[in-house]
Amino acid sequence: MRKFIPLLLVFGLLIALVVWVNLAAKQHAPKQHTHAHQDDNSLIVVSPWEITSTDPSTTGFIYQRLQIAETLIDADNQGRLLPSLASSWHGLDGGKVWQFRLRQGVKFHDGTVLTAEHVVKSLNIALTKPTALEQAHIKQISAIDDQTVQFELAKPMQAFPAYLAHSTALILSPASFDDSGQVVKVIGTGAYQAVSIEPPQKVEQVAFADYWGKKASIEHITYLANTRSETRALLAQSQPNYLVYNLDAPSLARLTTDPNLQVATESIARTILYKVNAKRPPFDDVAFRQILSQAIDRQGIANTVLGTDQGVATQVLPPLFGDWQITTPTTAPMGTPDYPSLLTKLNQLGYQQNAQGQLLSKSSEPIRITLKTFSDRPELPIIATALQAQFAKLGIQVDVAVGNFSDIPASHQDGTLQMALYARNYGMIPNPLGALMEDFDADGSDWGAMNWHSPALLQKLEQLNQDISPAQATMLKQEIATILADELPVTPILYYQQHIAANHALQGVRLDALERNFYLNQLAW
Amino acid sequence: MTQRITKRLLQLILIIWSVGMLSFILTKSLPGDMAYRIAASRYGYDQTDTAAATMVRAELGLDQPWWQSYLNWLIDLVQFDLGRSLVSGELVWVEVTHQFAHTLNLALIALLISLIIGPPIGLWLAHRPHGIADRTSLAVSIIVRSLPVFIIGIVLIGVFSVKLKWLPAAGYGTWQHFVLPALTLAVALSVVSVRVSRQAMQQVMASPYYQYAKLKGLTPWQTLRRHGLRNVAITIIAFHSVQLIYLIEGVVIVESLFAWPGSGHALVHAIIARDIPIIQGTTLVMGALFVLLNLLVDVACATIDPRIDDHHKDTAHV
Repeated sequence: MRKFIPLLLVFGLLIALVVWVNLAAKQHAPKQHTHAHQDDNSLIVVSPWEITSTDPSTTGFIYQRLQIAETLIDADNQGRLLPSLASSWHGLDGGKVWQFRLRQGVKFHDGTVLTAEHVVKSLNIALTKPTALEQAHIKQISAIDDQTVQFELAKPMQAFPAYLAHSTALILSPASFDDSGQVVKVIGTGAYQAVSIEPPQKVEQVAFADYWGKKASIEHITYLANTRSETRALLAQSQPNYLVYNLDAPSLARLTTDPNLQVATESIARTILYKVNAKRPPFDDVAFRQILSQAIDRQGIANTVLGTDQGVATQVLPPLFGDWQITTPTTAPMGTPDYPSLLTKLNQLGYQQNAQGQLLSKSSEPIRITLKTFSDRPELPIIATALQAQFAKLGIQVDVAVGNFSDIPASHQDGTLQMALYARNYGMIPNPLGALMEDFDADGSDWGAMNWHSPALLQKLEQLNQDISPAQATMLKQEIATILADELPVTPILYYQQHIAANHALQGVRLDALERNFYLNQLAW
Repeated sequence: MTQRITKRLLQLILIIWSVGMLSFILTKSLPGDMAYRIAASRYGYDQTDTAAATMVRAELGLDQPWWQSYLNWLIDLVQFDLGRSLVSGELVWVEVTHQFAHTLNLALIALLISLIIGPPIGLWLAHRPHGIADRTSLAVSIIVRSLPVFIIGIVLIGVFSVKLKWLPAAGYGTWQHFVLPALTLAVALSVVSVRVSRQAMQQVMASPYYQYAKLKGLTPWQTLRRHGLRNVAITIIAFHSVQLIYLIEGVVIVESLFAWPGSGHALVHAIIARDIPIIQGTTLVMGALFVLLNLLVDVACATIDPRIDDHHKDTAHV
């Protein structure tokens, strides 16, 4: 029997390790409340986006979509601003000072009544972290009275209210923060309250009985992050209680034939485009950029990659921003490219081909471009290879480099970037003016122009931020869109199509073009 | 035996230090700016820009020399402090225990399933060599083992979740959620286990002492129990200890596929994010577990076959 003692000891040690690790994990499990219970009517929302922490600067976009926390301002599917926690607002001093009147009787999930001081605290803490509010030139935030918040800006901004709709500007209860201003719990005002938040994959939430707006009818919702598009599609087919976001084109074809499922598609405020380093040849030549854009078979890419007839992008801003749309520009045509004719145009501009069919720069060097992209959005590498094949028809060699998305801003800054393909969200702030001012700033921008700027465009963007008439604003928007279409500092390819699937039994399924809301409180079985 | 345990425990300390250092050096030598990578994982795609990276660099002191960061880690480690995640700001210890509990439970259940399936079928097949069952098992083993674990998982989800609707396709929280990921890992492990057990049993059955046991009039069951099981157990245990590496390798894919919040999934994300404290914490715990499991295997083998320990003693005296 003695000979078994060492074996039993080591085995016991392992069992102890397993028990201890499990107890430690349970002890640290992040619970906010304890009264959650799952029932047959519960819903599981699945998307690829993982939870990093409780802080809105990192994961606010998920808490906003899950309707756990809200912003002062909301927006509809066309980007028009709507009252949310602020019931009204107005600008003073030509748009340099803004006052927001809070909605009466709004309660946080811990029962605290929303006051102006809570808004000031939440937004001041948000400003200490990366946030879109940085672009809003806020000098000071103060509480005028219990129900009024005032923002003093460094310069007039007509677009300012739109910044307060950003997901990093969520308003949280004072109990959400510790003494050092870190967010330790997500106690918002939304239609759902968080029961447990378990990074990176899971949030449990229950309907909030004291919600100020439309109360939710589905009592219990679980959010599950799953980065694999194949699994997400299979989840939609497995049980009737799933609502699945971000379906890929191959899965979509299968899901649309499933009689149990409803599939919804919406063109969202995100454009797939590429930027170029406009200082380096051949991209310093506007005519070259235009011909390159004309060489893209956008319809072909939409059909094969997105699996839809929709989504061809002929201009930078998506169609939901109606005022900004111009008639289809010649620089980004809809049809199949006429490669021989484009090649002739290139030859006329001084770009000749060598005996191997390679296109030569004006200094007679073969044109070879590195196109950077990333795989977080799985369609991007495929689009990159489609561009590679299409540009090859003009004799241009493109090397596709698939890496991490942070390589794009990093190589923009160190000046090594030639060309980058990505999907830009113009709806993060419901007014695209914010994104355009950032992207086409005189110094360029990580996700915008590189070594390109237009004084005329900047002037028009500034004018749009002044107190002008709607007719003047529309005219300026059209002029800005025309400059971007002519100059092509960034070249649009496709508008992003968002697909979701759910069982037919789930009613009220709809998509938000601005990706701000899952509309969970409007769903019912 | 005591010597063996002491040796393994010393190995454990060496593993903790070397795994931590290796993960530090390897992560530091990866291409790409750490500040951008950390900002990307913290703030997401729409908010990662140079301003966010600059803020991260200043907050985490990423400009300090590498040796200073390494020394800080080593001093903290001696004080049993693994630091905080560069991405979430959470204590590494809290994150690693949370993730590791999920991985450990999943891997152990997978191992248990493969032990229940593999050896019994293998031993049964050894008594019917070259029959239809044996040949079929060989073909199935080759096909299943050559499939990536990802495909096995998709097939199992397709059958048990989509078609039969018996089990959840992904997620965690109930015992039903365990079944498919554990089965995915166990299936590939079992098919090889069947063949290894079958081969080991065949060798034992062909040995003179086994033949003699039968000749002296023992029943087949008595022969197996007294002369077969112990001898075949050594090979089976040794095989499963080597296959533990497959579990860790497979867990990375399985966890991503089934939305399982374990160490494999977290480790991949930590490498992408250059979250050095999490990489060090996870690899350290995994390394330590390996040493412990190998110790268990050593002790188990020495208990089953005392000659192993005697051999060690003899060579030590020489």
